[in-house]
Amino acid sequence: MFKNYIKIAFRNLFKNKVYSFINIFGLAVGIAVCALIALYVQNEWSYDEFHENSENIYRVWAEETLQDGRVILNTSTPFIVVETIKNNIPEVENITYLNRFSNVAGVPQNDQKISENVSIIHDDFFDIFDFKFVEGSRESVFNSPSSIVISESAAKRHFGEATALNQVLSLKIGEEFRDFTVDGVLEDAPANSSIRYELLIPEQYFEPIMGERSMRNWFNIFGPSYVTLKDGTDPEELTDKFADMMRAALGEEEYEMTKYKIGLQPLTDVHLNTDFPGNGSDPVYSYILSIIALLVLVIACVNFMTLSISRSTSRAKEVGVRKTIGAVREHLMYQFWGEALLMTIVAVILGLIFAELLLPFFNELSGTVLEFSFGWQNLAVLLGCSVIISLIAGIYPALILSGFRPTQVLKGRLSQSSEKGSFNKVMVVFQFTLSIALIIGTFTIREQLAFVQQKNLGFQKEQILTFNSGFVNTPNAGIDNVFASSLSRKQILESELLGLSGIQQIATSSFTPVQTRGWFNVSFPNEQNQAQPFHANIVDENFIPTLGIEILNGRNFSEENASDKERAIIVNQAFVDYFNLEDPIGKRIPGPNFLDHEIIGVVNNFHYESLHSPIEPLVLTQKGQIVFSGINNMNLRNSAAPKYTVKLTTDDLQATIAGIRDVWEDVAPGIPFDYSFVDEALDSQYRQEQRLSKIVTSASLLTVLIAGLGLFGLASLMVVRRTKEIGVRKVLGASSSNILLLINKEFTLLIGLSFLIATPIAWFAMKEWLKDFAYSIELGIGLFLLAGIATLVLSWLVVSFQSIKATLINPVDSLKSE
Amino acid sequence: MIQAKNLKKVYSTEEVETTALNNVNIEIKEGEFVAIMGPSGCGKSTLLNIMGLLDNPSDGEYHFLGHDVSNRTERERAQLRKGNIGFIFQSFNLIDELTVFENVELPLLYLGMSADERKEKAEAALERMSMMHRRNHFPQQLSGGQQQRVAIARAVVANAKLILADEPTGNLDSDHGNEVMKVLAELNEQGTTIVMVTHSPHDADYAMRVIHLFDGHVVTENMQEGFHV
Repeated sequence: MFKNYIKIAFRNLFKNKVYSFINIFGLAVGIAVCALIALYVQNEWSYDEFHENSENIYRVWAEETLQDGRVILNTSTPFIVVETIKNNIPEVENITYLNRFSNVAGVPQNDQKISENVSIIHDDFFDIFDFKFVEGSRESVFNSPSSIVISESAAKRHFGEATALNQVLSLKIGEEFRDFTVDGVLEDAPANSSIRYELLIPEQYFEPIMGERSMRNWFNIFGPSYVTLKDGTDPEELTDKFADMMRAALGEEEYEMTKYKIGLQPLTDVHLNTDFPGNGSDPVYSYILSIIALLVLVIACVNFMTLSISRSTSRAKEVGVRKTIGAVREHLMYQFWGEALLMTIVAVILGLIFAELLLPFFNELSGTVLEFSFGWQNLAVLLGCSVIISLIAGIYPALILSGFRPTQVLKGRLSQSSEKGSFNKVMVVFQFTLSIALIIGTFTIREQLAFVQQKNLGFQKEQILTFNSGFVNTPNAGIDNVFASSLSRKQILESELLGLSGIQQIATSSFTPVQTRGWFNVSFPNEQNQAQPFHANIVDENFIPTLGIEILNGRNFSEENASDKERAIIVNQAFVDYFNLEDPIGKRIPGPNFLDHEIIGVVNNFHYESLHSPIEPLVLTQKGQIVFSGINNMNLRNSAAPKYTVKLTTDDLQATIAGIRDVWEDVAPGIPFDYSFVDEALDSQYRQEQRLSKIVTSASLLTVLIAGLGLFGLASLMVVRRTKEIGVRKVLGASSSNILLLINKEFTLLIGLSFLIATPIAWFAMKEWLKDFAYSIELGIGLFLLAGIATLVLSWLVVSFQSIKATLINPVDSLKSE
Repeated sequence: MIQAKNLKKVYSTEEVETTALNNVNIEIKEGEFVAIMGPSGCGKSTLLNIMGLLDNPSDGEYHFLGHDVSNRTERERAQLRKGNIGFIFQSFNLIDELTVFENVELPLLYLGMSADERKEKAEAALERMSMMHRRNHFPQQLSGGQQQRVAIARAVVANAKLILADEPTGNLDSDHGNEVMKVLAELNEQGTTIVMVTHSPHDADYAMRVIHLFDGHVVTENMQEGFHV
């Protein structure tokens, strides 16, 4: 019996090639999309689970309450937290920090050092995490103070293919270079690790780099800390102990004032929990992707259903015969479901091949490096999925087909019942509603991205280059002193560079417009003790002209005015508006403790943060102390180390950059020349949105493709079913265009209905998405109409392909066939 | 073998009610060859469907092989039908996707026979219809007469006691039609009961008895000359 079913199933598969192709191809595409997205989502949800001990590893968080009542939650922790926890909480087994700093490193013989991230860790790091040693071992590392452990790719960067073990690497510790001996090489952290590392050095280097005060300060935070707990410890039970520990560490008064709290977050929760600050990803994107994958699959399943039902007339005779000679309904249900299963299995195999082929493209879309791995488990899951998909796609047609009554069908009296017809219509509307909604989404996202990329940011972003001055802020130097050093270097640079063609101007500043996560983000209390926030940047007199920022009122800093360096500030229009300053020139920042200063100019509201945020008040000054003297809170999300910004006017970028590099290597030997272009760097801040845009575009293309294929199949079956009707109409005098209209009209109505349903859904979804931007496009009717018309035109093309065939039918043939 | 008492069949749609059979009384004994004649729409096929247990009567009694089957579920009717009743249609109704052999084998599959047994019986039936040489062909590759012979082989393969034929020669030319009628007559001689709906007086001549239907009633029952029950 089974053999008979298989035989029939295969013969049907080959007999109706177009129909089989539409079904299998559509399903395969749906399955490929699902497989890829499942891989992505699985990766997202399995972050950090590769540590054997992952369930027992926690990240330490710290929370403090500011005077104005704001609560700040941090996953970066003070240095002292590790030692304090070690001494006070016996339940903690191991604990380490991972304090990461940008640094420069290289082999001692080579003058040319490169930028590297160096992390200061506690020895316990190697006991907590399961990163594998490629060279050396747990026992061999960190036995001497000049130990360094590096990642595999760092080893490649510095030593090429040679063994890195026991080689010497020079790092800048404080003001001078020190030599370290490599005594271990770790594999690179896997793609699904939230913990990244390049160079790891022992904890005693914290002090020379960050200063003695930072080691004891509870309000200076550096990097994350991780702990493992002793067997059987519930992290919840430690809450009180942490509170006692903090009370003792800070003293009663400060503890009450800051309400300083320490707690533990499971490591496996780090990547997707957006309640904690950090670089995890928003699980919403996983959900959106999963929904898109399911939609594509469902649309493919819908094709399967509608086409099977439309084709049922041609299977009716077989059903009648089988029933007459003894088949009962179950036999036929199994048979038809079996056919669906067979098609699904073929589609699954094909879909996996597609998925494997599309993986590199998908990795580019999603910004991941994923790979498929096949095991028995996956095979079982696939088989299960095939059964489920074939059940969804095959069960309704199986029910309909097996329900035919032999006395009806064998006489050829089978009529398309209106119930089946309306099922198909509902399904077509469903498919096109999704397609149109996705197209609207695609158009909106693309338009918004074009808007943010083309929006006038209030400064020039083309042909502007930025790079680090090589001076970093250290605890003992003072920000203004470091800035002054960078200014001296700028003067040397200027004298060399301005002679080169293509270079117009050079500016120095603590922050550049590339650093879109805010500059010195500071606040001072007003008389009501409310925080008055603004941003600040230390700049030289070239900053405003180099970036082409418009001065609305007053003037720029001037070298002729010696007092500018000591007491001049320039604010933006948002500052004037926020603090309600009439005649701002000559006024002060309205706080009591700021050093002597006055506003000499007002600039336009240029976008120094991403377009996700509105423009906030800004102070530009040549002397940081003016600002620092009057604030009581500062939040830094970007490095404030001085940077140079160069304005180019060149047709030969390569040559100009090479020229700058040459000069740089003379002026600042040993300091890497890592430059970036402002426009490119600004584009990259919308990377997540660009990814979403690409994925939604691909998804809508696929849904339209699959739905279009389904429509093609439905139209062809409809023409076959209505052959006799068309014949009769032609005999009665219908013209070809009448026939064309007749067929197209039905589908046009369905697509019109889909449009009406899709529009509000897409409108709400897109409105929600645009809320993430402080500056966004208006959702115009044009965009929606465009999506509707595009779908309609497409469907007309697809349907007309079939209906033109119908108009060519010779009525003599079609009437005889009955 | 068959007793029908006051059979009534009414088809109703939302707006119209059509009486296809009205108070039909028929008795058919084992070994008979009965022809049912009448104009289009007189209820011939409806009667055949009820006799073949494809349909239930709206009213009246129907006994098949001693069982009262007037009101059975589709499943029960299918059980009783399997192996007992064979069907022959005007349009042959072979399954296009199956070969000649597979078509003939199909009833045995639903009877749950072993592969060996099926092969033996199907080949015997094809042999009997002289269609063995075409066993691996598909229906479309055969002439109408050949297709109907395959259909007959399928009807007899399970040793059906009753064969119901619905205008078996309707789609055939006279040569092939005669051939088919001879085959049916032979089957009847070997003991199979045959009930045949036909328009053709020539075909009806093969039957022992002719029942004339008109507007759902039995109008006459004639014994054919030369036949004696």
